[in-house]
Amino acid sequence: MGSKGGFLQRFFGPIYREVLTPFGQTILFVMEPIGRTIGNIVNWILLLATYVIGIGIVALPSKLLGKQYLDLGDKEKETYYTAIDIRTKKLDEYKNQF
Amino acid sequence: MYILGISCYYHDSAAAILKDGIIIAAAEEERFTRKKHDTSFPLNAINYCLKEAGIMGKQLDHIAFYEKPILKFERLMAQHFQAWPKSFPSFHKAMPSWMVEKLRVPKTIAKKTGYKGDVLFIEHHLAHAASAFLPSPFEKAAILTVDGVGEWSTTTLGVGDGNDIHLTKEIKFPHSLGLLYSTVTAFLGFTVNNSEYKVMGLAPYGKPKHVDKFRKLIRIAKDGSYALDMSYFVYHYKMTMPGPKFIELFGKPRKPSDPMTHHYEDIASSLQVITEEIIFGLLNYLHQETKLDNLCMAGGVALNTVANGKILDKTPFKKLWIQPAASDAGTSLGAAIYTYNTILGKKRVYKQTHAYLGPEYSTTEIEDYLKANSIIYSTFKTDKEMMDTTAKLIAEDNVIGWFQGRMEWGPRALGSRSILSNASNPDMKEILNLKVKHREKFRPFAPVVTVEDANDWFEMKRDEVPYMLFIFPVRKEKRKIIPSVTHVDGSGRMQTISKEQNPRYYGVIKAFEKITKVPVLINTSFNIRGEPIVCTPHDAYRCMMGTGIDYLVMDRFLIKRDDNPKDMWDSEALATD
Repeated sequence: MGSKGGFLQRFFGPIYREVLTPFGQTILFVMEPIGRTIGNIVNWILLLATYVIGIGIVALPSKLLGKQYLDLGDKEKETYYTAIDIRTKKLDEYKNQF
Repeated sequence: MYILGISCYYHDSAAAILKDGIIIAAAEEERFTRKKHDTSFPLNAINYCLKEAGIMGKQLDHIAFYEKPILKFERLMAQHFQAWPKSFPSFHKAMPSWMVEKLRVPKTIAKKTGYKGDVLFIEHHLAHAASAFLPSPFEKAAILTVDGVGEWSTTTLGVGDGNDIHLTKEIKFPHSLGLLYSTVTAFLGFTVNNSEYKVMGLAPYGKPKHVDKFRKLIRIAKDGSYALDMSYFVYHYKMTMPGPKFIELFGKPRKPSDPMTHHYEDIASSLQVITEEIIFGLLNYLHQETKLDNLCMAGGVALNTVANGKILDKTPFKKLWIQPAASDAGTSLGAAIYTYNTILGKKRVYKQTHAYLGPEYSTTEIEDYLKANSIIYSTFKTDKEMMDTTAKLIAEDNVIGWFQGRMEWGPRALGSRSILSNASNPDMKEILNLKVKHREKFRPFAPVVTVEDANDWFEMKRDEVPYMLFIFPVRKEKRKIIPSVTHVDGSGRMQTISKEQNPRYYGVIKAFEKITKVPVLINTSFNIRGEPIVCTPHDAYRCMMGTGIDYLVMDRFLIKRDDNPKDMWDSEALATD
């Protein structure tokens, strides 16, 4: 960047400092938030599509079939413990992220 | 053998390193980045750990991570499948970070640390359990972990025996005592995952008038297990926590700027009653199942010091050890020590006796800093002179910034990065609030007492409480002598200190006792509200100069605030939640 700036500076002389630099900064000042906003909008649309289609494709039939993914605590039970059996495993099994 | 433990991406990112089974360094990332409860990858904390060990990342034998990311992601997906299409806002907020970092942990670790081996993934509550049991003094103990949520578990029960940990029971998300507490924290206008301790501090001001209302939203079985009625909550699919039914039951939520009324104090008080009932219920069942006398605890709920102080009275357990970094930061230590002792089967050689595991600055480094910044200071010739002078300044009602040795591990200032002041002055709470802390008026300040004098001043149920994890009543006849650390209900969240644990800190209290006959000081964290505890000499100096701290005692150097420029910054303007 330094050498490029150096070349532009030499090529344009004082115009670089007086005109081009403030102009470039103004462009950057305006473009940066615009770019960020466009990014956010694209991101939002992609995530919405993923949510509606990707999650919906499982969630909608599940709802129709009455499948519950979480126990919402709407039923009284004798115990709310779940039995587990977490003990020492072999080292390789801890390499799994699941 | 070097093992690094890492926890991050949820809250309280941290790293801890073991050398041949002994923890040689541990720190939270927030102390370096100055962002409270920083969730980012703890690169600064890792670099500190590696520096302390004198090695590079590629020389590590193992790296252990504090949870299994795909299991957690599965739970997240289940939440969205269950709540679709209502959960889009939380999906939109959470998903990018999962794609960019949370599902790419091994790559991030390799890239940022240079470590070439496989990363070991330890279940979240197992890491909590390991942090509670393996560094404890017990060969065999029952273990209880309770927090907001890990992968699926929110509460686990188990046993530690020698090198092994066996978890036998769990309570699964969305049923969570930690998240119930956080829901009320949000309802009372405080920040979730940050201000739960304020709700605990508020509770003694109220009366438990709403316990019956809480019973509507939580079911407690005879065996101590519990379930929330999720129709009162929305945290399983929204970014907020209490649902419309919860608000209908308890009334209008308090905004942060609203005054604190008796109604909210009563809600906090009722929550504390229910929390204790659940914790004691879980523990009584755990004892019934294990028949063990020893108990180890970890998880954010284990920072409920009011409940902790009652455990030995309300349950059959005889001995209790709680990991001082009981929140998620401690899981970095847990993951590392579990790898060494349990997965690799190496002998347990580490017993945690203090929490001074963070960065330290040498006398030369501190003096260089003072000189480089043209700070006016004086130097004590001996430790005795330093301790005597500090005690005299405290007795004269000055507020002292105390910066000595290695920074504390865990959320509490324990005499390395502390603000010390006179507990006997009835106005000191207000002075501290006005000069430094800018805290809510209802919040108490904590006492530190020399271990041999503790029983004379507090109704202690234990020999020592070095980590400020228990609240005990101040003895009735002493309450008038130390009014500034006696909470409205007559209690104090105390720390005991022995000469072996921290000779200088202990020495100041002893010197103060010689002057005043009182072996008790106010010890509060060296920070302002909303900032992490100070880490470096610069943080300490900056904190003093932005507040009304009168003197800073750094190693053997004394810096008087009035001798130095006062326009550095205005802490009050920046004090946040």
